Amino acid sequence: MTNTVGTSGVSREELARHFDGELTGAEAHELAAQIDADPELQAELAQLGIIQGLVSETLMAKAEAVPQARFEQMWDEIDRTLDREAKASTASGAQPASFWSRMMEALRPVRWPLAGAAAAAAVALVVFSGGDDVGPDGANKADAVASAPQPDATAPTQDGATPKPAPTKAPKAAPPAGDMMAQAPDPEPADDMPKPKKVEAEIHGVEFSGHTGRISKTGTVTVLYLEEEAEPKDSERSL
Amino acid sequence: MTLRRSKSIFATAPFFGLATALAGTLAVGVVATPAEANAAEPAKAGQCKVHAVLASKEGDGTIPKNLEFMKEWLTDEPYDRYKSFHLLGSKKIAVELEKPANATFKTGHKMKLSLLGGDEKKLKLHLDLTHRDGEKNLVAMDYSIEDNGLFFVQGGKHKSGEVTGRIFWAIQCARR
Repeated sequence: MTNTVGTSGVSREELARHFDGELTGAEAHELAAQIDADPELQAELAQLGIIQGLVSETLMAKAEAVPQARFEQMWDEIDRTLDREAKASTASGAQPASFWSRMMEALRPVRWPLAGAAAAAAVALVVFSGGDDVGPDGANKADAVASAPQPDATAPTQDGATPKPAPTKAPKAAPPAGDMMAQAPDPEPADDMPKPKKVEAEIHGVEFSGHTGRISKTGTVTVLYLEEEAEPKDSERSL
Repeated sequence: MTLRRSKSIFATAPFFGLATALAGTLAVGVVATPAEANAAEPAKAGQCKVHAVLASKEGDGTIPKNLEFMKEWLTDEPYDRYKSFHLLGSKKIAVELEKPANATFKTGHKMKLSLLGGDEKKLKLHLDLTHRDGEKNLVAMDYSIEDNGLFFVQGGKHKSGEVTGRIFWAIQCARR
């Protein structure tokens, strides 16, 4: 990715500083003039505004409607991207980019889907202005939590094989969380298997039975992330 | 007529070099471990070990002794953002062709693994994992991985004692 925007060679950092109101005097006037004359700069600035709006207003207002696990995964992705950039920036000695600039970069892959979600949320707010997705105890109502549509259990997977999810039955009471450590302190590891190898897995078919999830490949490490109803309710992150 | 005795090919230096190399190869074949020997055959049965781990963002980054064997993974992306790891339990699952085998974790999650086959290098497995209620299925999937490769499945948040974090399962399988 180039670090400049438009035809006038304005850097993203400079634009972000302008967006944050950090530029003053002649510098600010000069950049304002360049923005007026350059549609690309205007578009980039508008996107910064969209991202700020998304993060600080609309999404926060509807945060409860986002499945918690998914939301946390999204934040984790953003965390990682920001951390990576911060490390790279520290290593190179460069001045770190502004928060919104880095946030925009972190959200780049999902910018337009997020914008769509924000628009949908805004419409929902207007249409259901009297509605309340949050129960009296502050917890999400069951039907307020979005989830992936129930997939067709007989749908063939990529290689034609049909994964066979277990039938969904009425849930039994889950074992109480929080007693695991007391019951079983860190057990000894398996010493009857050889040292594991760092190799990539190949996914042939996956069916998230009514839940959502995703597959992440980082180098040779393949991780299948699953959405699971949060338990305990306390969030790791304060939204 | 004088018969000129030709020098036998067996007496030539290149022959001895080749013979030595062949003998070495044969010897390696004889002393190879059973796993290596089996690697040439299609998988019919396997042994899996599944480790349930709680990863928390609280801690000093020390990898506990019972998870040292996967330190290489825990100190690299995507797990390097966690500060402590706690082995919640390990289950051994013997898998056979098309015969699902189950394991129930203390968290309530149930895992079902079955061997779908594989080639001389990889095992093809089917995995089912339930919600912590042991009933609702979270995922059903087919995947292939080399013998003794680690495959990770990350679930939701979990609390164990005072530690809150995310639970994940590291699945290691090898043919028998």
